Amino acid sequence: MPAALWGEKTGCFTNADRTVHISHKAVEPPGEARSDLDIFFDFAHRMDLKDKDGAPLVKWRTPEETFEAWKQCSKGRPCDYSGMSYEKLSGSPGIQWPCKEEYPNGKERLYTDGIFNTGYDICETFGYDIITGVERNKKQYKANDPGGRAVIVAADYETPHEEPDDKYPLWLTTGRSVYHFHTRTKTGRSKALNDAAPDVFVEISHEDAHSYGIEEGDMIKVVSRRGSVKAPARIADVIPGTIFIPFHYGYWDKDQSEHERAANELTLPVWDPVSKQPHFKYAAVNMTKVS
Amino acid sequence: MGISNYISYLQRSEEELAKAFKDVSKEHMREPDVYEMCRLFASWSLDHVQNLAAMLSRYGKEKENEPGQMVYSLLGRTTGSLGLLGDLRLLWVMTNEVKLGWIILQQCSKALQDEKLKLACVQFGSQTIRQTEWLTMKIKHSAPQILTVPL
Repeated sequence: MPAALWGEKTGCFTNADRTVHISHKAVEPPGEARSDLDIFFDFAHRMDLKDKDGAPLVKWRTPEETFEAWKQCSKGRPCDYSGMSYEKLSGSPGIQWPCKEEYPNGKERLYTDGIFNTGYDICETFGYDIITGVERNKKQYKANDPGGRAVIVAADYETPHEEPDDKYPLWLTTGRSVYHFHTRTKTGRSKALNDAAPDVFVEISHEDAHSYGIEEGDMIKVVSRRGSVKAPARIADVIPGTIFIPFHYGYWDKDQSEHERAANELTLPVWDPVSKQPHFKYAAVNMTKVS
Repeated sequence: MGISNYISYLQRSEEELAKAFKDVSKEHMREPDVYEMCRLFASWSLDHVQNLAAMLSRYGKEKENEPGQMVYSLLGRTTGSLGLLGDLRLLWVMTNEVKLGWIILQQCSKALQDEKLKLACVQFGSQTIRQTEWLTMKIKHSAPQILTVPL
């Protein structure tokens, strides 16, 4: 630590459609920042990690040597990188794995023969009960062998974890702004993006604005069972009974007095049983005008 | 017929189980997945209670020689994470007892050639199985942390 960022180190990215891109170092990292790889080498050296023959475990010294080691590791596996090289990647707009003798420039489409890696003797996970999160085992899977067909998993309807009531009569939903990514650690530092969307707001419907006596720009306090947010109102095309707050505005860049702006603090500490993703989405809230 | 007594016994067991799930969810509100899942399971068990009542009305209720009640006391347990492990284990025992109840009833339904009863046992019994599976998983996840990490 500290670690270098994109453009300050050489390495490869692989995205969700299997395309591998190389990214070359363009500038030196600032101050004492080092690439993740250098930090990893340092760590391995200090931990004195050894291989079975007593020699140091980590035998590579450069990004390219590391990539060559990864090629060997992935060779023969579904995600085969063995046909790629830094030279090849540098001269191309990206190469998809698998990239091997059979597909020297990568394979664009998988499963063109209609055969998937879903045989019970091949696959390594077997699905879940999507309500309880309990993992299926091989025996259960084999007993109901789909034989290559897709399995459509159904679930019974469940009521929301929290619904509006007398004390918290509105639905809150949270979401994104087109100008920011997550907690604004990058986008907040771009003048253009920050200027376009500098601060948190609450979107309410015309109907609710009218019944609450709220006008555009009025400061509102939104409260749930877990927290509160203070933000100016924006009257928008929202369903009456529902309000919207963008979730990007935490308070890492604000002092103590300005902490009531994190939309996710209003939401429920509930997560999806299988993926463990937090709900972060809806809550029952009330709304008052702040004089 | 003994079966109506058994349906009655299973109904009381599910009612106790629903209460136990509710109690555990309230006791361990700080564990969001325990809270949410136990509340859901309580609603399943209560649903089973209602359905068993409907079955009972078909078979008629008998008063004599009622089998004993499934009574497990949740009193006197320790609080904190050790309490959680104890409560989960107790729920596991209770839920498995109920699971056995559905298996027994399902066997009887086959002997009586009562297809409607059999389907009901398959449907509700499978929910009980899912309750036991979650409890086993949660116990497996929590036990090492609770028992091996020094306080």
